[in-house]
Amino acid sequence: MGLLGPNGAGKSTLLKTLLGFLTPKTGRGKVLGLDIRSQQLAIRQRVGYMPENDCHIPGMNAVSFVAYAGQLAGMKPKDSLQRAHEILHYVGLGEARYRNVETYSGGMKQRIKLAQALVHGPELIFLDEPTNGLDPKGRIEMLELIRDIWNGKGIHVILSTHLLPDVEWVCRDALVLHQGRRLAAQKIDDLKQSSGATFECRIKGDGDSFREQLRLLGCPVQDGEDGVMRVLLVNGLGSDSLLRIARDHGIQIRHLVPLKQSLEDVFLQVIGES
Amino acid sequence: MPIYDLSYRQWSGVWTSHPYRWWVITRQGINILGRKRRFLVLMILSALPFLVRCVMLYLSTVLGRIPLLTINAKFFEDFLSQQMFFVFIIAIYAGAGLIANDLKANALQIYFSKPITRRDYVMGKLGVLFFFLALPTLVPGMLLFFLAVLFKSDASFLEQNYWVPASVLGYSLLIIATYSVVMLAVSSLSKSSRFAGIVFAALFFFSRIFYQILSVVLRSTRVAWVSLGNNLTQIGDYLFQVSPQYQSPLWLSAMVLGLLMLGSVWLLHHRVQAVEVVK
Repeated sequence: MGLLGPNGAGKSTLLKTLLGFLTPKTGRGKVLGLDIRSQQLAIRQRVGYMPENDCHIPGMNAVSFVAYAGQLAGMKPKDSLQRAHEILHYVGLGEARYRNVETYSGGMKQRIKLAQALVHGPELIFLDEPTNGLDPKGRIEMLELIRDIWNGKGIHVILSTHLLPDVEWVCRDALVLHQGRRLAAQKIDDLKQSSGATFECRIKGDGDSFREQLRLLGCPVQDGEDGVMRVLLVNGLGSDSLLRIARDHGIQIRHLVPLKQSLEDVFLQVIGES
Repeated sequence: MPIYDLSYRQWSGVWTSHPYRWWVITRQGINILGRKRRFLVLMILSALPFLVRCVMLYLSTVLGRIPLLTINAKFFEDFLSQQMFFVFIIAIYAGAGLIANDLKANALQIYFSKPITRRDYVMGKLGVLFFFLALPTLVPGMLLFFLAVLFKSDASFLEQNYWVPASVLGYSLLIIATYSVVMLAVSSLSKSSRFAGIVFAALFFFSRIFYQILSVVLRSTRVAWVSLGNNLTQIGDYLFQVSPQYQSPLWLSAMVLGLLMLGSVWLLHHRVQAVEVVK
């Protein structure tokens, strides 16, 4: 699931509340069926967390760091060491696993944070801005890794980011937050469909009455270059409705192409409506 | 077909029980410090007074070469008081960065994203200091008493001093607890271990200087309680049944140390958080 929202929407705060770092003043919540107020340790036993900012435990190489994280979660030293090697290979740090974490590049630091979140075999992981500070290649590799984690590995992923393409690439569901409030929570495909269909069209003749009619029906119209306009059809209206309205107003449609709605369009629409 | 699967596999092993989770932190802290050569040199240096005392003990009891040296409770108290210099240095070296370095590296989020409580974390860090401060105090103090009994080979010595091991234990624990808790609290104040070390040193030095000024002005040692070191000495004198060095009341020294420890625990409780909450 992608946790979406502009900066300051409350994405990180939500994750920290679910982990028990912050205590909510009101309300209740459960993670994996466990109460966030009274069963914080049990939650953290079954959840992995990759924090947003740079963090490591000083004076350790990657193997020691990840093994230590495993021991903190309750693994025996021997098990955690073996597991650390496996996880570091998995996240692509196998060759650099004996280097001190403090000497790692930005991309490697992101990977090591992911490794420590995975070491104890969580059922759910919270990833807070995992592609922050990564170059395009590193970003793609990280997203592929995240996709691999939830796709067939039995781990649920909550990805918090303000980068919509990341969510669109990796996630199936999305939760949109704004100013601490939930605006939408559903499958990304449904979210795109529910927000209507966008068409690019070019007409012959004066289209003022046509535009006015569309606006009255609640469909935003945006004029572009060369007489091309973008129409967002909402409230169940489809291309046939558009053609009928054009016919009723004596307008000839010369060009009509359905546009693929991006998550960014939907996100801006949802945020704008709020 | 690959001979080794580098893909992710779910973990299904056995967990250790939670009450000992703090030990993981202590063990790791001991390992990291134990690998530092300078620190090892410091620990070896801190053992030298013990070796000197062993020789003195041997010369006095077995060979009878130091007639003026009396092996009594004060002998052990003097040893522990002498070791406070090393306790001070070790506390700064080992303790200044214990929390400060974690704050600097944002490591608390890592700790608290695991099933670790604040109490586990603080206990784990305290364990590191307890271990390294017990090495120059409690361990040699007890060994010294054991050697004294061994060298004396005299039942009357044991009859007269049977309570001394309890005093060594009590005084050592008091010294260790005071230095550990205060150092850890000071370490939680800043992201800089150097700053934490300076503040801790200043706390001991300035309280000592302040006492010396006051004692000269008032021409009395009644104000000895303003110095942290003096308070430890006062309680040490009581534990070893030695006439007190200062005129300040014992209860006041105990109260000052108690309040200092409580304040330190309060500070730790508020400073050790998974996230910094800005209100």
